[in-house]
Amino acid sequence: MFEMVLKATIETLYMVGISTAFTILFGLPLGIVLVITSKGHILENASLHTGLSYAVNMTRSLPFIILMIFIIPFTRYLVGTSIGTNAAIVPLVVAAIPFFGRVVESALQEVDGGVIEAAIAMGASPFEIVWRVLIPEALPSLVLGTTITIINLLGYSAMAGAVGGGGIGDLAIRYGFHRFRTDVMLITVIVLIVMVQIIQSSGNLMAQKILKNRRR
Amino acid sequence: MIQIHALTKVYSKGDQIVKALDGIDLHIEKGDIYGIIGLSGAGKSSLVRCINRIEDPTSGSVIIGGTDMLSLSGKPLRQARQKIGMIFQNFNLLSSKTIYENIAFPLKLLKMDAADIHERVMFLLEKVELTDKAHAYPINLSGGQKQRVGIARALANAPEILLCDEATSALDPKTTKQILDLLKRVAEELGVTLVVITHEMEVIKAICNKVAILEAGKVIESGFTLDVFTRPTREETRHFIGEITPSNTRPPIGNRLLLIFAKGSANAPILSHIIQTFGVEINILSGQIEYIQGETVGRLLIDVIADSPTLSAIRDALHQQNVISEVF
Ligand SMILES: Nc1ncnc2c1ncn2[C@@H]1O[C@H](COP(=O)(O)OP(=O)(O)OP(=O)(O)O)[C@@H](O)[C@H]1O
Ligand SMILES: [Mg+2]
Repeated sequence: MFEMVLKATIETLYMVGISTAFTILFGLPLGIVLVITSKGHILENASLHTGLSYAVNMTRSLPFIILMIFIIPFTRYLVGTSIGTNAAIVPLVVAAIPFFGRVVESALQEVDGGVIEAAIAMGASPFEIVWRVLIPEALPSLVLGTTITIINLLGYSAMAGAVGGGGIGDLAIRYGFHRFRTDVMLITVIVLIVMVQIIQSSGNLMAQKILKNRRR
Repeated sequence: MIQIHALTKVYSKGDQIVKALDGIDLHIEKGDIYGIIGLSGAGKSSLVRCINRIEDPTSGSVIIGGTDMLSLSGKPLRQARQKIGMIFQNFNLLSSKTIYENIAFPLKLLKMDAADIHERVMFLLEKVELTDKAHAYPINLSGGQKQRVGIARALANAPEILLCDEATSALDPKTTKQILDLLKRVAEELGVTLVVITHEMEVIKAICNKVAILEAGKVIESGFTLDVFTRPTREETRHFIGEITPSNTRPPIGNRLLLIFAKGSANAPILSHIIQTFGVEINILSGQIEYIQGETVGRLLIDVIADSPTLSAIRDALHQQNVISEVF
């Protein structure tokens, strides 16, 4: 049983790890664009902002389980199959990008307008403002937002597991539920709790460390 | 250096239209410390923000060192901004960066190499007397120290112009004085032209050689600070310069005059001379002495009991002694 749980845990870590990477890769730019195209910001663009915002809201209105099934053709197109760990990553990323985009958006919105204005007055380009002002200034919030996103992904990945994606969720359904293995069920729950705890505390620790540094 | 002509700025929020600047003409010369004073909402911030184009004017022109600022956009505009420093009421330092990194920020934008940046930042830290705080973060600094960092950062690119929008308004009087002294010093030492926005006359008196008074988007008075303070005040400018009120509001006994002593006359016993020469009685209602640009300027509100030919003679005599008199 230990081996089974270990294998499932590694699968979950793999799914969550890879999806986190892709989520940040696409979600960070999405959040940045949402902020800088908003009213009064450095690259105000109402139609782009509204369009993106709608797309984000639309994706976020679908429950994960429905989204997962809905995009099966897309998943097949990308990874060649709709079952297995790799196939699960596609809906995970698709669901998490708009969520993370909003997380990034709200973190970057917190950055004081005066500081942005100072950067403009110093002749910084929009790219330099994003890279050298917005992201560093919002880093603690970004770290915490990423933590929440990872925990969300962990939850989604358990659901994805239920439809053949592997990982902890898969184990819980197949053994804990279908075969009435209460011990397996219990262990999967414990593993999930421990994972969430570790992720959240490391996120908090990192954010605090950054803030503490600035109080030196 | 800075020529502003017929500048207007109109903000429209929905169907509400605010004319923040209404035909501003200003001529700021190299080496000036040019004060722009006005009440809240007069358009001071809008004006200064139109100079470095943080705000786009609605019409008019802003010409800096021969370059038409309104013709620029994109990279040339950013390059022009790099030659204009700006400091702010709320300092606007990057909380994620140390004092050193904050001052280095504009130099990094220029892609200067690390050794040159280091040399420049150390020079500036010394200028603003913050060398020991180089590796601290802004959160640990007092307001005055933060503004000194703001000044160092604004001077990093060796700008020819420094724009100060209410740079001392968040500071206590003592710190304000230190910051003003620092601004004046760096302006002289580094040959920077200053544009100083403020709502406090004390700031103008302390450092500005020229001043413009802004009201409802229009310049209602401008010129050399000393001239503006020692010329007869107009109703519109009275609440900025030389507001002087009698301690009680009883009607004048004889003729009420406001005397403005300038060009050294504040230090001479002119009034006692007048009393002796003309044999008149003078009742002093109130008075004040100010120091403007290192000169003493006095204001005195008096009642004189004299017939009108004598009064004219008195006013002529005062005039010859560089005392301006206004019937109040
Ligand atoms: N972004 C804006 N949108 C709409 N109206 C604005 C905007 N900025 C300024 N105004 C209006 O323009 C006028 C001038 O404002 P401005 O900020 O230039 O005044 P100010 O002299 O700097 O005042 P304060 O001393 O309060 O800073 C005010 O009536 C203000 O409400
Ligand atoms: Mg203002």
